[in-house]
Amino acid sequence: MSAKDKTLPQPHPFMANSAPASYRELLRVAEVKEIDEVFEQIPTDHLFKGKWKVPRGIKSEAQLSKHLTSILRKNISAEDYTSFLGAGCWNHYVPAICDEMVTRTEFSTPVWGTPSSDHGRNQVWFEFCSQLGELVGMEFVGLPLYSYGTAAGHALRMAARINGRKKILIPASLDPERAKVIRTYAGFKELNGFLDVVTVKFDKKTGRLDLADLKAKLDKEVCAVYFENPNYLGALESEAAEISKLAHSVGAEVVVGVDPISLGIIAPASQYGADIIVGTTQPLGVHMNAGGGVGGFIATRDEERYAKEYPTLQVSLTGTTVPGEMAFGLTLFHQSSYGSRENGKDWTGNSVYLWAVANATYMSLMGPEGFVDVGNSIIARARYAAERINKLKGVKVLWRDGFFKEFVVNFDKTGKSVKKINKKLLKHEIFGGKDLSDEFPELGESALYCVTEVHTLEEIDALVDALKEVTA
Amino acid sequence: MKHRPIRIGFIINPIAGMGGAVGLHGTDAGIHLEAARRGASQISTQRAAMTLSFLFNSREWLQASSETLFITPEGQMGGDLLQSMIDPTQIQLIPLKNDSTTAADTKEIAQSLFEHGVDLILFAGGDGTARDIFEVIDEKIPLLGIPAGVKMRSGVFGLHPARVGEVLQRIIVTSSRIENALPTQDAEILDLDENSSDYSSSQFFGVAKTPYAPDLLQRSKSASGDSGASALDELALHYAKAMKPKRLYIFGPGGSTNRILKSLGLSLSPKGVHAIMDGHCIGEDIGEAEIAELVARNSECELIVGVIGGQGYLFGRGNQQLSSGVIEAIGWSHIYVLASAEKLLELMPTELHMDFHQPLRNPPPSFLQVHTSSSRTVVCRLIYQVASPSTSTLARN
Amino acid sequence: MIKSKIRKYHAAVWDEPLVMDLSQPGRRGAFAPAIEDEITDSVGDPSALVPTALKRKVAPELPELSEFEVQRHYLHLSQQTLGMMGISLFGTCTMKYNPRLNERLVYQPFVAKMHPHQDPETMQGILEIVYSFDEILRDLSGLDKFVFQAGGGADAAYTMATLTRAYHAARGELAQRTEIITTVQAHPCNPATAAAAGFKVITLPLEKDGYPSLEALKSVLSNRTAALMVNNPDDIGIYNPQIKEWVKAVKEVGGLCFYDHANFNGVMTRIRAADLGFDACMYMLHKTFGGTKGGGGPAVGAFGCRKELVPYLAGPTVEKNSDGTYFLKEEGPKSVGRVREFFGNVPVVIRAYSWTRAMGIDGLRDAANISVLANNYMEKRLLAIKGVTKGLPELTKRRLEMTRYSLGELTAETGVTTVDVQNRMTDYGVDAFWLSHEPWFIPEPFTPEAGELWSIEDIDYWIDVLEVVCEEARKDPEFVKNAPYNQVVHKQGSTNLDDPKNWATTYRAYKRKHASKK
Repeated sequence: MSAKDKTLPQPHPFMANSAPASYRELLRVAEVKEIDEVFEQIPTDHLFKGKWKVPRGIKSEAQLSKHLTSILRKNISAEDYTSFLGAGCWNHYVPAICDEMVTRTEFSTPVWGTPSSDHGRNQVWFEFCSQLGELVGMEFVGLPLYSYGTAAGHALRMAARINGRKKILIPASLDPERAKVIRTYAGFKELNGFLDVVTVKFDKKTGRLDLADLKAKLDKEVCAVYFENPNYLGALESEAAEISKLAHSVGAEVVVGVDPISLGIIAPASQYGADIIVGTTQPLGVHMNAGGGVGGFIATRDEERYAKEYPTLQVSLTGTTVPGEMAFGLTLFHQSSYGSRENGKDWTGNSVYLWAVANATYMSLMGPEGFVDVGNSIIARARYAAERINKLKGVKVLWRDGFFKEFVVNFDKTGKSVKKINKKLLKHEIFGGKDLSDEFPELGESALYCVTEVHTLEEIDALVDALKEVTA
Repeated sequence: MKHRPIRIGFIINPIAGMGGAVGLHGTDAGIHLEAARRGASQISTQRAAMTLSFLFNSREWLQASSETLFITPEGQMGGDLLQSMIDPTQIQLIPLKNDSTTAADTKEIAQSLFEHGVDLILFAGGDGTARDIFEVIDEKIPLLGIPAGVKMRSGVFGLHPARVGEVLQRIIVTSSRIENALPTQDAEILDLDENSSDYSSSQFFGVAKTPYAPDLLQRSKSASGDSGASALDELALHYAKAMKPKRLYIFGPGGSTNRILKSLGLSLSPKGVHAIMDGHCIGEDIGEAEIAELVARNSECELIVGVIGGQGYLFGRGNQQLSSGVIEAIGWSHIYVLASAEKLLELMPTELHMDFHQPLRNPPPSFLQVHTSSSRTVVCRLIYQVASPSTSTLARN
Repeated sequence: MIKSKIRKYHAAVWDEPLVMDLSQPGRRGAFAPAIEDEITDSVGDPSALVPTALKRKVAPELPELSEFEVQRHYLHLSQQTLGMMGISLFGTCTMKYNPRLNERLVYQPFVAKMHPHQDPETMQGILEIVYSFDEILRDLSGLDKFVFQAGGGADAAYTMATLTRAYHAARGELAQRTEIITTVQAHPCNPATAAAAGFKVITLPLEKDGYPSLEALKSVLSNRTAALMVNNPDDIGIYNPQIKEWVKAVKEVGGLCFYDHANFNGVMTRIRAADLGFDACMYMLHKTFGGTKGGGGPAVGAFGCRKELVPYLAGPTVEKNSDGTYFLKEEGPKSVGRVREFFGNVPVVIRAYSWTRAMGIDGLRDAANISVLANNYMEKRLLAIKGVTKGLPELTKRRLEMTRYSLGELTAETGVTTVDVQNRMTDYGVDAFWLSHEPWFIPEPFTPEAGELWSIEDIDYWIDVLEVVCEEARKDPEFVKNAPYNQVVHKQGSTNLDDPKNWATTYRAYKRKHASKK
């Protein structure tokens, strides 16, 4: 082969064997003369012969960095402006050590391993499950799922496999985005495993689930009642124990979605009747990442009837062949889709396991006192913001009591749309609350505001001043 | 609660495996005399020693040996080997009348082990040994085979003697802590049909119990699990519910088809062919003539058959009652085949065979869908060769 | 014949306790911002703001540690993770270099602190990269639109299953079209997601050519066929040359065709899904396109389809205005809705864009060539090792970017299995290799994939270690069976973790079940 051979690769920093000498050695040992020989299985009429639009490579990191930075600089982040957006992706403080751990090459690049070769990471996973179990008050926790909504979807399907019923009740106040995910998981009536999704009204006076409507819809066909605490509109379901009792009275499973950052000050759902707890993991030390930081979990009591329906992978603490040594092995692997293909419980695959590293680090840093501390900091700031906003002319906080970090602000009496208000807030370097006017027309021109521990007194006051100006 | 030690029955078939080494096909039916003449050594004893040394050198044994008791015949069928390896207080010997080692002796020892109330029968041998023990034990006691014969197609055998040692490690540790019964799984007992000259064909003799350790038994798998079995149970319930009134259902032999009968509340032998109508058995263990007559009398009929493991036989192995005439009278579109996905996909290639005394009159379909659960199928090619005596020769081995 | 000098290796052993066991009362690792006096003056005691019925009464038993102690604990655990620190030829997962530049970029506020509901005018950078990467994948596949919502390859397969539902439902045919066809060599996520979406699953097994016959496919095609979900090549390294005829046959009966492009690395710049007739395909950005794997995500299964199917895609999609700006478009009425919240694991898309731009079309071509060539190189050397055989050896054409091998002969001879060998190889700093997806019809399988990253020396070292271990297995099988010895901990014990009495996914459960052992 001549050095001019067009198929000879060009040296590239990501490919050791692109060096001509290495490549030639591969050819020699593999007994290949022309590279096309190794593609002999592919019929020639399958090969693409046109022109590519993808440009040639940028081999210089300096050049590539400049290219990427020049694009990404067009973004304006929550560091540049003050953001009051929440609605499924929340702006919480991410401790520096969480970022350190998820950028460790040992954690960020590997694929799988064994209980001994990747012992450290398996231990992190176990610590993630153990600590999350402490927060939610459950003893059986699976490895993380894609998101809050997918965790809820899988949990409801678990419930259907457990009691064989088909009807699931979800609150009308549910995040429309999570509701869409749940409906996807519920399937179509023409096919197997279909779940009939029925919505339960929420009380317009409190933002909480309408218990009368719940009672009316509960019967022996109800598989599961799903509700969240706090709910999408921010309200804490203070009658959660009553909801669980009603659901249990017809033999339904109680599936509750929670925000784990609230659980230093708010009771775990296991104490008010939850059978399956799901939720988000993003608030526990993971950046928003434009929605790419979300993750979910499923937790239950350590009972066979629940454990044997998990779709996830699980790690269990166990021993090695040496007495006293810890290992972390997989439990109930065979019921996953890896173990049993289409006969497994739903399916699993790559999930958001790296975020479990951030979550475990976060929970260890916070400890029991840190969770109380952050819970108080959030609930106080959110209440302060709501109280001040509610005093603005024409602006009303719909449910001023019993919320955690999110609350609904109604602008009907200002005569201005949320859309307009949010556009104007941008000039004040503020991302206003999520516009609810399309999702919940019955709430009029309303927005969902999220206030967390990251919002200072000054930033909240600046929001109030800006709102005063733009709604005037 | 205080529980008694686990009792392991132990049998070596000292002549198993001797055929293979000297170019004979198994030691069934007296071939072993010829093998002994050709000078084979006791392979099965060596293989059993490998299993036991793996067990006795383990940490598990150190933990649990005081709660384990071996019950075994004196002499070369177990006692000699065990006495050379462990403390006599952990062995209970069964006296023997003579020192012969025939199939009848194996059966007699199995019966004695049953009477001694063992929790498990560990044996070293091949398919013939498994079959002899199974004839006595049926599914009353789980069987665990140390592969030491020429043919080990039955599901009770471990992948390798060392793997059987691992199964035993698990069992003794688990049993010393858990009060409930040893977890088990179903395993087909297969052996040569001694009337056939085709040495590659196996007959189905029934479904035994074996310890639950799918990763260590034959056809090793990456994970333990019984999803295939639970999918078949789901299928059985589903099928039973969907059965129509006034329709004749004919069930072929096998553990899979028997699951449907069980979910109908019918306790019938997995070895026979049974006719069911309106939830009742209207023909138990029926032969070809009775089947043909029932099919002729009923315009609507379904045939439910399983797959004989190992070589993937649909018809002609252990279900000769289902003759070509019967099959064609029922019609291919009324034949419902079921098997666990694992069993099917481990057949390589995934083909189903048929072998009839009388040839089919019309060519069968090229492919059949085999149901692995109520909503899953695997597509299998049907291999049908018109039987002629010349194809069944030793040369095919 | 061993070519390399076998290095002395031992994993870092910190004997690191569980973080819960490091706890000391009263230590603090983090504080939330103190509540300003003005806020307290206004709202009073924060604990009074929680409804009485929902107040937490018992504190969670979380560890109490100083900040440094937490940092050191997790650093130790990172060091106790072998991963890619040595050599990892983990087949089907296409181990790649994950450029550090990307890590530096995606943890900056202009990615990390972005919210998906921001006004699009404030997220033009992200939208531009997502859209530009969509354009790159359109070019590589010939398809018309990509979305990145799926959180991994399996989720992209699920996207296909849900799209199939939406498509046939819109045509009023769903009640009839209830069957999805796949092959035994498709990744388990294909049949599993099809089943989870409610379809009946028909599996085609391999036949003598190493792939199912067209005839077998045709025997199950009917007006009940909803879709075909396949990969090609499969992970035995075999390419189905009749795939065009397959697609044509499925389309003739009205089914959709999905190409699981998990094994894209060897055919990049040669094969385009659309040219073979497929309606949709999936690429794994965390594998083929250089994104980080994270030990199992966050990942992206990029899902693309023809323009006829765009109305059914999961929303929202990233679109470009005529003025060159970008926006997020909500899905229309025919859409499958959402398979997951938001529009994807954006940092992974950015990594993939960056990696692909660094490689360029010329680099992709070279990478495919090197991957397949390196696999053929490996085959020559691996088959020279006693005890190693090739899966489906009767198929002699050169395999693509990976080959499945068998250690069945070694097992028959020594009782040492592929899992034992996998464990023992980690004693040499070689990460656990990939065995095989279910089902295992090749006995004692292992599936290495050299890819374009690993140098010829790395590949040689990997092969040499395997040879050394095979020799060890013949010399002292018990020794290999009880491996590893140079790892953080020894071989996992034989406790049955599928027994409810034993399993413990949380420390609380463990302490309850195993109190006597502590």
